[in-house]
Amino acid sequence: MADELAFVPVSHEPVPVGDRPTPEPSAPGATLSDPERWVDEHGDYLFKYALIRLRDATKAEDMVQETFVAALKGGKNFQGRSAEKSWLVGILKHKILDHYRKASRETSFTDVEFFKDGESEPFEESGMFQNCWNHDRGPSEWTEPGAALDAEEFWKVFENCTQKLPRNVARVFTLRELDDVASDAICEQLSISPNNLWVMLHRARAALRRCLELNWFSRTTTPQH
Amino acid sequence: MFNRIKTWTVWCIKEATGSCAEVTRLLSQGMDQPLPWHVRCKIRVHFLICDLCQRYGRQIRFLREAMRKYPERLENSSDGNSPAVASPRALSPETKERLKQKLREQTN
Repeated sequence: MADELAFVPVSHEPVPVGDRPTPEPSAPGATLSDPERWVDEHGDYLFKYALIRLRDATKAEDMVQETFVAALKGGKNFQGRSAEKSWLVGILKHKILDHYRKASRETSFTDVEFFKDGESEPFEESGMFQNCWNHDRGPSEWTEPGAALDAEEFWKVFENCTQKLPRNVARVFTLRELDDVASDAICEQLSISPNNLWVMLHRARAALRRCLELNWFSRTTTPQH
Repeated sequence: MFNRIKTWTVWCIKEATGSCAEVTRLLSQGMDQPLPWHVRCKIRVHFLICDLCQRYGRQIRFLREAMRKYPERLENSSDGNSPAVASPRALSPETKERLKQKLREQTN
């Protein structure tokens, strides 16, 4: 059952009475105004949340709509306004995960290309030090990575680099690195083997690292060509 | 002569601890599950001869840090559609109206 997912803190239970704000009188039309308020108060947040994880604005909008509709149907008793946002996020998380699950068996063409290319880290191809870094082309020292996190431009590069990851790879990478979902939970939910997961995560990290190095960290030390 | 001895020593350690291709794979795996102690030892010893793998490990940990800060970053782009990012950051007023309309239909 969906509610048993260990890493999705969703609760359809009403908030304990003590935690509730003063209950509003149930005037006629109160049920109408609430969902509309959700759109104004939480719509943008939920949209951003979905967009990071789905990388598709239309799909993200659909998910937000589905979330509101599900909330409306399932949350008739929900009155704790303070926990409203996390309650809605919980529903959205479920929706996204369901979406991942449905799509996880498709492997797109770009995925295949990505994995073929995966071993192309600059390792030596032969000799005594086969499969070791080529010293001229291995990872270069990144100057002040911490400062990059404050630079607006860095995030543009970062976003472009994550966009290049194939869909399935990006999904497991987001679940693992952004949502901090444990590996075995990801494997279970998406029905993939641990090995498959580690390969995908390794490839994702390698590709993202290379992309940031090329497009951000190297341009501070060498002129752009 | 000295260089030759050095190369052979490095080669021996590499043979014992695994190639960089293998060590980078393990470094990544180590971020997703605890590695057995002997594997962690192997990586430590490999680091003695290989700065680049050590650097690689630092850099992929930085990716995690960046990824975790990413939503916060989006949150702070208060103007909704920051010029630094390509895709929309907020629902358009039309979409919001459409969502409200949809919810109204549902309640009736």
